Amino acid sequence: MKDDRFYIERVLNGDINAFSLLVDKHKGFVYTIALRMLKNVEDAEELAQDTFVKAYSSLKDFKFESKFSTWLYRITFNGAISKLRKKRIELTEMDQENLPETDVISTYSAINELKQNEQKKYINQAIEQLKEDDALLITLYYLNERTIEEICDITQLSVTNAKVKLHRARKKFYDELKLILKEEVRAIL
Amino acid sequence: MNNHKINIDEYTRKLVQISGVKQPAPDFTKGVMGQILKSPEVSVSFVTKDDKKTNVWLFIAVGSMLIGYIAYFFIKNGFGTGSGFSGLKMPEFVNAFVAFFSELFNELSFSPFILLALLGIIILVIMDKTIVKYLYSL
Repeated sequence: MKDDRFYIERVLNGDINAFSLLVDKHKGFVYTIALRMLKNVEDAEELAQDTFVKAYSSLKDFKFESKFSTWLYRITFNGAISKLRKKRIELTEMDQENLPETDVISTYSAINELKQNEQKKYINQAIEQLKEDDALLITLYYLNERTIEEICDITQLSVTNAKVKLHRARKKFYDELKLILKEEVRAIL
Repeated sequence: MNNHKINIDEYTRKLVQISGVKQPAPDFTKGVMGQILKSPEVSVSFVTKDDKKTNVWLFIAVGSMLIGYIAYFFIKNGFGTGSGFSGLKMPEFVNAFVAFFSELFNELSFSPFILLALLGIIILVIMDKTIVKYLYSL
């Protein structure tokens, strides 16, 4: 598959069908980000659609100063924030907390004991339990493997703030995962 | 980041990647393209600017045919043909051009079949555009 610039230039030259290839390429991550923030399949799908329609109408303003995907995620993030504001959910900043290494290793080992479909189920549950901004940071940094600078570009956070929030999100992720696993063990026993 | 943090990052990355990328409904792309095509400022374009070279060859071909036809006409008829406008005494080259265009006009014949073919082409182009728009809107 050719790079995004090739298809963007085709779209700008009037080949509207080239945009469907960009949609196919990026819909997974755009939808995942929307789902992580809105925590609702219908809202996430609607936001992902709006993101692409907005991206199409503003495509002539895209100057290739960042990756096309980063630009798309920024549109998704802003759309999610405005949807969340309508629901009066505030995104808050919190202080950094330490995550003990033993917690990480014990949770990781416990997860590795499970079958693949169970692993996926519990990890998804843990991410769903996180707050919107925490789930977004975990998804962008660990799943999409974005750098802190790219995350700052998408979320407009400062580098320090993004790092603090990421540490906090990671700690909460392990807390949630531990809790889910404990409940499962209790249910089995 | 120190070693302790790098280890935690690695463990977390492995765990989060198990969750995988979510996918929207299978008709998601069709829905997006349908929305875009419904927008009034979108005009469907079938010929892209990549085809500039084809246009150049088209102009060259049409130009050559026209020059060839003019050359053939003058070789066949010479320069002195034609009687000018209503018996007026005109320079020889004007008479030649008048004769050329009146001959060209006489040779053009719009038979019903040519008109039907042109109509058919126009209908096909309109249907093509309408069907593509309709398919995306489903």
